[in-house]
Amino acid sequence: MKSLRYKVPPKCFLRRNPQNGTHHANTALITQQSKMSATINPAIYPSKPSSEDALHKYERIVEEAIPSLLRIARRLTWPDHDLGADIVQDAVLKGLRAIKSNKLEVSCKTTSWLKQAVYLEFLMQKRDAKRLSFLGSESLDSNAAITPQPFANDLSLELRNALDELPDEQRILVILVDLEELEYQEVSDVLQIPIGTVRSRLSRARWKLANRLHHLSGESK
Amino acid sequence: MKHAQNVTPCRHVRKYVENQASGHPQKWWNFIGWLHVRSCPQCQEAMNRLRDYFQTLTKDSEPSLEDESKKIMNTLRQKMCDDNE
Repeated sequence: MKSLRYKVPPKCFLRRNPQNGTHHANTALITQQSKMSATINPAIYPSKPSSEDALHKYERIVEEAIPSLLRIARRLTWPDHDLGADIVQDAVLKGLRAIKSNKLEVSCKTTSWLKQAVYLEFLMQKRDAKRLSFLGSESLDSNAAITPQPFANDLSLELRNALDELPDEQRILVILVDLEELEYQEVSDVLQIPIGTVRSRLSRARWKLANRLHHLSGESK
Repeated sequence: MKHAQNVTPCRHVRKYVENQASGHPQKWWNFIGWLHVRSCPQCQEAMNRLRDYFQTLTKDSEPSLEDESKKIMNTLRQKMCDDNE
C-alpha cells in the first residue's frame, strides 16, 4: 500500500486534458519546483558571514546584553561586585575566542550562550575558591571577609540574604526568571535543563524565599 | 514561634496559588482552586507570603551598571583590535 502511494505523482504535478479528461505531467510546474529546490533561499540558509562581520555583530550583541549579564553575575557573586564584573569579562572574552576559532556562530542565541557562560564561569570560580580554601591558601572568593553593603538601587538586603541561602541551581533560576524576566524556554536553553525541571526548581526556590522573607520581616519587627 | 514555620499551600492548588500571587491568574476553570483557597487558612497564608515575595521583587529597581559596562566593552574592543593587528 505504501509503495503504491509513492508511485502515484501528487495532483499538483498533473495537468488535466480538457478534451479527453486524462491527466498528464505538468512539466512547467515540475521544472519550477526543481529550480526552487536547486537554488538556496538566502532567508533560510544565510551565507556564512566573514569573520569581520561576525565580530562586529558579536560586539553589538555584547553591548546590548551586558547590563543583563552584569546583573546576573553580581547577584550570583554578591557581595563581591568586582568578582561579578570579572566573570562577565571572562565570559565575553571566551565568546570572542570561540567565534574566532569558529566554535560559536553569531546568531540570536548568542545572548543565551553568554548567559550560560556567565553561570558556568561563576561555578568554576566557586569550585576553584573551594579548592584553594581546602588547600589552606587564601580564598579568591572571600565573600565572608566582605561586609555586605546594600547599594542604593539594587535588591534589599533581606532579599539578598535570602537569595544567598539558596543552592546555586535554584538561585540562578530566581535570578533569570523572577529578576531578569526570561521565559521558561529561554532559561531551559541557557542552563541546558528540561523545562519541567526549571518549573519545579523555581517553584521550590520561590516557596523557600517567600518563607525566608516572611521570617526575616518577622524577626525585624 | 509562628514565624519559624514554613508554609506551603496544599499540593493540588500549588500552581493556582503561584499564578495568583505572581499576578498571572489562570482561566476560569481555576474556580476549584479559588474555592479551596477561600476556605483553607494554610493556603491563604502561603499566598500572602508569596505575594509579599513578588512585591519585594518589583519594589527593587535596577542598579546602575554603566561604568562596569564601559570597562568590559573597552576590554573587548581592545582585544578585537589586538588580534586584528
